[in-house]
Amino acid sequence: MIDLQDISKLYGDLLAVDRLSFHVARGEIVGLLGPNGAGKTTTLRCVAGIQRPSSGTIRIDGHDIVADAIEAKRRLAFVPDEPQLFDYLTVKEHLRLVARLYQVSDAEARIPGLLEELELSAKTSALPGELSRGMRQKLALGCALLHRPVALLFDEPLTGLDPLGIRRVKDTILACARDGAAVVVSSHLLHLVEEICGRIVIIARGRKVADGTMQELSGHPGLAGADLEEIFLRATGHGTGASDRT
Amino acid sequence: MTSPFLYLFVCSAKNRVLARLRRLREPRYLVGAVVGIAYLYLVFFRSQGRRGRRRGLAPALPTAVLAPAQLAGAFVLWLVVLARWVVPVSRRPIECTRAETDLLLTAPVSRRRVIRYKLLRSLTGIFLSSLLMLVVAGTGLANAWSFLIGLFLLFTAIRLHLLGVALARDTLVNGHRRDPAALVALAVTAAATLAALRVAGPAVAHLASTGDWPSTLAGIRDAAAQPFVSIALVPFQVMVAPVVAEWPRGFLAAALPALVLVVLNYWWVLHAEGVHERAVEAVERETAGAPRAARRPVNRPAPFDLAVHGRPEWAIVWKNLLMLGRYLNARTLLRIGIPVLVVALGPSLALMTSGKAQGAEIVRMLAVFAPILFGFVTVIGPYMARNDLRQDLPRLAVLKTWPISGEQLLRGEVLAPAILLSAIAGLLLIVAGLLYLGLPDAGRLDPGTPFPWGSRLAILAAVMPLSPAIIVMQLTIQNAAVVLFPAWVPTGPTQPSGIEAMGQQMLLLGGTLLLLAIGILPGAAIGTIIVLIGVRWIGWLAVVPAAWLLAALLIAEAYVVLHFLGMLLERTDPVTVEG
Repeated sequence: MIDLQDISKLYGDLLAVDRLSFHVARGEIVGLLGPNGAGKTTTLRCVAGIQRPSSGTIRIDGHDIVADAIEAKRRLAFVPDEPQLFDYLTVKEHLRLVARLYQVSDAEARIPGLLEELELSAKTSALPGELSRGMRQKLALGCALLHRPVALLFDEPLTGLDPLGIRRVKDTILACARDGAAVVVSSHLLHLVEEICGRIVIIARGRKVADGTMQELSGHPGLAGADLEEIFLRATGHGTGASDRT
Repeated sequence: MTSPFLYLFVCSAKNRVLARLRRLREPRYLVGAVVGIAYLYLVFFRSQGRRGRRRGLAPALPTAVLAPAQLAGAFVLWLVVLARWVVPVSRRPIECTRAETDLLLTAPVSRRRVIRYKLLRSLTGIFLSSLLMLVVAGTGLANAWSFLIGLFLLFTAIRLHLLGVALARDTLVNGHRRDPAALVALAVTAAATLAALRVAGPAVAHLASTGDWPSTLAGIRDAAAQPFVSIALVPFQVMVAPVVAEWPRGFLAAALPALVLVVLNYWWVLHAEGVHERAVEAVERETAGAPRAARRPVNRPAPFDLAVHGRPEWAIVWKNLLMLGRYLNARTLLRIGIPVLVVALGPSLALMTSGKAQGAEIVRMLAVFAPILFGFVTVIGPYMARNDLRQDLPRLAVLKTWPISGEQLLRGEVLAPAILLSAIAGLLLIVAGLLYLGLPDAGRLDPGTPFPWGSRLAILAAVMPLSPAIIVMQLTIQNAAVVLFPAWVPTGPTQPSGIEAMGQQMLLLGGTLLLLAIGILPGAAIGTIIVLIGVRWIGWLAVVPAAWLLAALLIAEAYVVLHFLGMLLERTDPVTVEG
């Protein structure tokens, strides 16, 4: 569903992503982990079609994100860490705009239900400036889900949310995967990744350093019984003293 | 513009207007709007209406003025375009907001459509700018419609062309794919540059040898009529022509070629696929959170080294000067100040030592500008340099966690812009003083009675302390307004726009000047008495103690006001000043 083949991204002389490859199947949730500056956001933005990879290919449901961008993006949704909304569009207008951009034929029928589900029914005429952080995040989520994407990218999806909001977003991610979407979740919250992701990809300095299920990763020599934090630190070259002794 | 983008544009415009109207429910915006509208009516419409009634319809520009105006406009346009080819711009060629990046670039629409939306949307701003210029130039213009639509065409063409140049320059410099349209644009600018040199070279030489302006201008007109020069400047003249054309016939004839140029430039920007993809890449790199290491580091030198011991006020001053550090600091002031002083001192010394009148006109001209700038910095500067509590108020919650009193905090806040503005004003005053010292007849009270040097120095010595005192007092009043009426004063880095915001600013300016006048009164009264008594014995020197006393009283008043304001600030709940 989401297929990255040897993608690299250069900023001048700086190699932000280095020949990264991984695949996310239908119904699978993959956690993308890495220290700050590892290239997670750049990777997600390349997959989302915002940035173009310097080399390599990215396919969404078989459509190349560069050569066949329109078809690839039609199947894709990207939820950034900070909800980015238009200052002078109301909640409902945001959804209608997305409906037009993605040509959602049943948008008129779908929008009220989605607003209800996101608990934004009472705020349909509000501008983003009149919404709380959590509500803006919900609206961004609504914009992402309206066209029923088959591939979803979440960049730090829990930033700034309260416990109830966190529960709702987690449920949404799981529901998307249950409905057959391929999901990539980039986060620093290791417990979230461990809880909802079936597979984990760890990158450091733009390169993939680990890829597998929790079971596979902890099955490596020297990592028996290690939790995700320990695995992450070891994979990124920051092994603790305790683990060094193991 | 296709439907999603039209929808985005229309809804955003509608909601923007509604939000502005809803804002008027708050008294601060309503009062601001009333004041702003009244100001615009009195300054522009009413006075122009009177002028219009007096003289009837304003006549069109006479032909004798029209041609030189068109030529001058063409030269200005050529200079603007040449500058864009020669000087790299740090600004992104096409600015996408984060919302546009995340919602539009990820949507199943082509990038070309996003760029087209951005280009067409910018026309709204261009039209409003043209309308504003029409209001400023005068609604009584005989060819108001030509002026408005002509300016709109001119600004649109120049915006598109400069965008194309910025993109093309990037590709040509970096040796990427050659764009034939870019090469054509470069050739047009190069031809115009040769033409301009053919006109300007002989004109400068003539002016230097004869010093005669009328014959020099006549020479420029003749040179501009040469076949090569007139052809090379055609694209630039074509863009200026509709602005000054007679409405409607002359305008229609002039607008058609200008419209063709607008369309050509639009086509160039939109269809230069390779270049325009690079432009989006540049936007992405900036907005997409690219690693900082990939960007050019920004050098922000500290204004001075902050010692870890000492009065906490200086830490606030240091912090607030650091906010300006990117643009202005002590080193920059020295770098600018020393050459300015040398330039001012040179002609002045030459005049004094030679005793000749040659060059006096240049010194006189410079000597007029320096005091005007000095007055501007002293009176208007405190409204423009906002690196004080006006910037810091949104961070009041953090400031209140620091172990310093409200009074110390406010003193530091006020001192930062005061030091900066006083340094600039002082520099300008010294420049003005040096220039006036050189003029043999400067400040002559009546013909035949030269103003003695001693008196000139006395006035200089009197004005010297007044400027910082007036600056400090005004800054104190501005910061007092922030503490007392936080809702009425714009705070934080961004300034609100609109007619209501303009009205608010005017109210603030008026209120500050009124309070400043009240603050000056006691010192001015005592100072007047000192001058009246002292002038009999020591002449103009009497103004010196009077001015110093007035300055001292103003500073003392500011000190007392800041003391009480500090106490008030300590009791201010940060929640009440947020938003």
